[in-house]
Amino acid sequence: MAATAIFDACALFGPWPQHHDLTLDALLATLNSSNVSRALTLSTLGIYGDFRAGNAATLEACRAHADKLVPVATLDPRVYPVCLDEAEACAKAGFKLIRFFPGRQGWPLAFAPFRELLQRCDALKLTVAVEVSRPGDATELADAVAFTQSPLLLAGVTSENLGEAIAVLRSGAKFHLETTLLMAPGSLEAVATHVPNGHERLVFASYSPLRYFSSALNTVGAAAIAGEHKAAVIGANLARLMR
Amino acid sequence: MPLIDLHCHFGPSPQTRALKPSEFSALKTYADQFGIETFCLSIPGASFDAQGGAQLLAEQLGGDSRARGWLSLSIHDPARSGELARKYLVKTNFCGTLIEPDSTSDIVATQGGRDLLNALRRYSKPVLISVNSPETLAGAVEVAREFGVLKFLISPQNELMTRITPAAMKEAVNAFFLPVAAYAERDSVASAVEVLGERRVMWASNWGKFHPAAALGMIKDSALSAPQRERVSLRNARELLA
Repeated sequence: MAATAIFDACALFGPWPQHHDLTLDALLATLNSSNVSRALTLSTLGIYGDFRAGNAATLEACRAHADKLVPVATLDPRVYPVCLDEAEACAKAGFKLIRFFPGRQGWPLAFAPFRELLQRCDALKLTVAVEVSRPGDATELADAVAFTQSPLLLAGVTSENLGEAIAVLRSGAKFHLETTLLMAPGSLEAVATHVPNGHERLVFASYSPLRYFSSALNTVGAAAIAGEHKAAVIGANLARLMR
Repeated sequence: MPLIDLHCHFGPSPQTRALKPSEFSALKTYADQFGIETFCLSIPGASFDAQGGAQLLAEQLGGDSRARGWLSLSIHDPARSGELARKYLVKTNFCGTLIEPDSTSDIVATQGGRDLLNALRRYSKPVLISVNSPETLAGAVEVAREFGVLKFLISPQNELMTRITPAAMKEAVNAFFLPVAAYAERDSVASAVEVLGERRVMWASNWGKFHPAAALGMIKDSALSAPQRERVSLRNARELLA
């Protein structure tokens, strides 16, 4: 594991409710001490504040640390139709992935502005990651994106909702799953076993420095899957999605 | 460094319903691999079948000399809980009582909870209370202050509760903080040590519900000195279980 290049699908910086600020320095220190080669990174301003300010802060930080940080944009479909223009601007600025946080921002997945925004992202060939932490979320999302072609990352799935996530993964090859909260023993093995090419559909994400990096990485390291499949989970799968 | 794992789970749970349940032999392998000196088990199914859960637990505890058990009891049935306590808490391999309030109707600072805690005083064994809301936390802190003769472990069951529990329990000096790695933001352990001191923070893997690698990672990444780390992951628990 130590020799494998780690490509982290989610790293954060900025303010976080009821938490000390997640500073850029703390993020960089964590990534450096954990031998992370690259991390998809976003400013939390885009989650809890104005996504335009957040995306600008993300770009600035990622340009300053281009060897390590890869920019990820956030969009909020409640800010409609401005969010459609911002999606265009993000694509032009070089963002490859857009994250959505319906649970944290308090909007439903069955939401007309979100559907239109997904269509726009798909037309722009932007990969999207969507927080689907509540039971039923992954199912609703799968229904909402039946028309899209781009890869889609299911984020925030816990082991409690793993059965639902596996069903969605089996329904289409575009779906991928973040490992962060899949902490029950046998979770990653279940995906590898029950989903066609399941080891290619898992993507490591640490949410550093908000969460303990080693908790996230150790869970992948301890999974009873082949060494080359672990290497794919912690780096190669995401690299393929970002090409 | 040896470790004492204060909470493992044996049997199906909401976290593992889509997965193959872990065997007891896997728990023994984990304990061998990581140098676990003692591991303390509970049975998730005991939350709806206390008697069957206690029986299953007693059977498992015979399978390894390092195993201790948390007896799951309900505040809603003090008479039945008292019977189970009389039967099991006198055994040396039962380390204490587990109370898992699921909602505001289960708050331990109620007549049923107080009756149960009164009955538990004679056993001089710790009480582990899980908390999943500010109300259940407030109830746990209230009874900890009221029943000064008992020792309490308070274990938060989501990220918000992990953040607010140390400050809320600070004045209850007979209460100890037991975080769950799956619900712990960085650096919950170091923050708790800062608020409570290193003698009031302990460690559990929650094996069975969560992979122990996550809890080991939490301890590894915590900004603790070596003596603090030893306190949190071993010595405090050794003193609690003595």
